[in-house]
Amino acid sequence: MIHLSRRKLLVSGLAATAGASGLAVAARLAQKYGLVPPDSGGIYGLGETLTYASQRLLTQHSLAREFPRSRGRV
Amino acid sequence: MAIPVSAQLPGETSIPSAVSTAPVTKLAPRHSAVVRVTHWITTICFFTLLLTGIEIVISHPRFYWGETGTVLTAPLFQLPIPSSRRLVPTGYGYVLPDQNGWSRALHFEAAWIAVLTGLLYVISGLLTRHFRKNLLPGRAGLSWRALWTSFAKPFRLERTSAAEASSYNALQRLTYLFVIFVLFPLVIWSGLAMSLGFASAFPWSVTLLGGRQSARTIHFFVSLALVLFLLVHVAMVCLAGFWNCTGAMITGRTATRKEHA
Repeated sequence: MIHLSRRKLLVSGLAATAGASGLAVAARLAQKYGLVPPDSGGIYGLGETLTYASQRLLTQHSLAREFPRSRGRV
Repeated sequence: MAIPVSAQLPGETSIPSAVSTAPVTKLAPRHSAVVRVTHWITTICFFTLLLTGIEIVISHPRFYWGETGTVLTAPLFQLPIPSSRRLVPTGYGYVLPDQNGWSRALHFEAAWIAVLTGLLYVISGLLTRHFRKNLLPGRAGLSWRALWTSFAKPFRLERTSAAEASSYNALQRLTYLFVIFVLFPLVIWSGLAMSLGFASAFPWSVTLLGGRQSARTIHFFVSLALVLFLLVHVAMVCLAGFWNCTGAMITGRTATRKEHA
């Protein structure tokens, strides 16, 4: 049998509340800064959203890898 | 005859034995909740990544080294399997159904979940000193003799003792550390290096691996190493007692039998 102390219960409750609040804030911020893709729904929505958002956060300027002129032929 | 309470470890619970002379089965704490939850999420993600990864490889079962590689360039090696793309030369007279679309979407989704789960595991492991307590091998276990003994023991197909089942030997610890801190980061890095967006943001990450096609080849070989680890891991679990080990990874407690003095 699992013994759940009052302290454990409080800590778990607080952690769950903090996690849910964090997710809600992250969702709001993502909407505000255009980090949610059009295909964010469905079973692949989570992966699509994380990929889309990280690409927009990481790639500020170039959308493709740039090589120096000295490497004209790869 | 009852076992004295003082002999019990903290958190241990004992199941009363019906016959006084029979061994007493004790439930000792084994894995924390974070370890168990992250283990099973990673397991689901790993199988998803493996299945979708195979589907992705089938669309182009040729591997190259360097920056570029196409059906018109000589491959480093080629898997002897048919392809799901008509233009990929495989030597087979037929083309497999193309499952590349959903496979890629699911591969990336499972990868995200695995990476986030892994981060949670590593942060929790550092905060709770899980790595130091359970995975960092002691100096005594690092001698060649001790490592060889740990390596050779499973081949003798001996049942592991209760003490051995409740902690990892030095070879197991080194293997887990290698998988967690070398293979997993390398498979993530080589996977990210194949992304055009990631390569444009961090070109050095691709250059260090020898190019995008080299990253793909490394990703393939590291995945093979992880599959090999999985096979050995499952074999060791079977040898150590499948239901006890699997139960411990679900409930967090492992059954240890104690004989009466």
